[in-house]
Amino acid sequence: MIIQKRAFALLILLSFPVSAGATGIHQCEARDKSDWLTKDQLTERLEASGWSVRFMKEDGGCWEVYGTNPDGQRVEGYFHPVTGDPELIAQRGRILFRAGVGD
Amino acid sequence: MSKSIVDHRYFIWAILALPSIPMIGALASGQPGPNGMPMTEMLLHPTGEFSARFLIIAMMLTPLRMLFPGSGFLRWLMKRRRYFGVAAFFYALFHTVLYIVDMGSLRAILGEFLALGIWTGWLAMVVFVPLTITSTDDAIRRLGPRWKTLQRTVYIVAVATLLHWIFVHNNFGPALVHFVPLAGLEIYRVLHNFRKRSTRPQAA
Repeated sequence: MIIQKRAFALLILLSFPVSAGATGIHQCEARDKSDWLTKDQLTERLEASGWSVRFMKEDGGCWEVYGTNPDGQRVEGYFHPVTGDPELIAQRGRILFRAGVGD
Repeated sequence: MSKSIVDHRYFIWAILALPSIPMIGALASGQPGPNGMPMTEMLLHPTGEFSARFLIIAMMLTPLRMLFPGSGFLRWLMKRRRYFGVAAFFYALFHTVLYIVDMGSLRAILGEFLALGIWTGWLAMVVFVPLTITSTDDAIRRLGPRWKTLQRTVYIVAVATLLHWIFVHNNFGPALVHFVPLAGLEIYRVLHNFRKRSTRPQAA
């Protein structure tokens, strides 16, 4: 009975793994860094089409943009780093657009 | 001397408030986070995570004490369980206020209310309010046996929080890392109680 309890306690402890850092939400085509659009270029392009950009960072070889889309929804978007085309747009985890699926 | 400090009410409050100090400091600095991320958005994650952690700790104590009935540390924590619950509520409130400020408009908030990752968060917050209001000694006395029944709605808070966490990021990993230990202990508790109940008729 005591051994059983200890085994159970160990199991509970082992179920606390160290959380990983990468998001792995979306992966873009690998392209040379020198070909990438700059933050300013992508911001300008998005704002011209009705977005408002709060900030962006690199994730999975994409530009991950946080902002508001032309419909006024707060979204997180993954954009191709060279063409600037949207690949995945999500609103609080709800996928609004995925390239090749919704369009 | 040291024991009286550790057992003082303010000691546990100080421990539970500790994670909020760098958060409030970052907010007060007025500086954005890395990549120009607004601080209101950056703090959403840690505030929510500490709320969930304290909630999970509070809920784990009863089954943990079934596993380790002799543990003095667990007994010490058990006496302070309500503080963990109240702390979980205040981190959740901080989280909600940051969210409202970060969204900046009622229209934007309502516009995403129906997303699964969002309404589950609101549900957890709403159910949490009466649990916190009734966490005083006076409320326990006044409510009598109804207090326990009311406090059991914490399971709604836990499930809603888990769903909120998973679906707001569309990612199972981090949420499950936190909730699997609690789920494991709850399964143990159910099995333990079931075994006790099934042996009782033989004893009688």
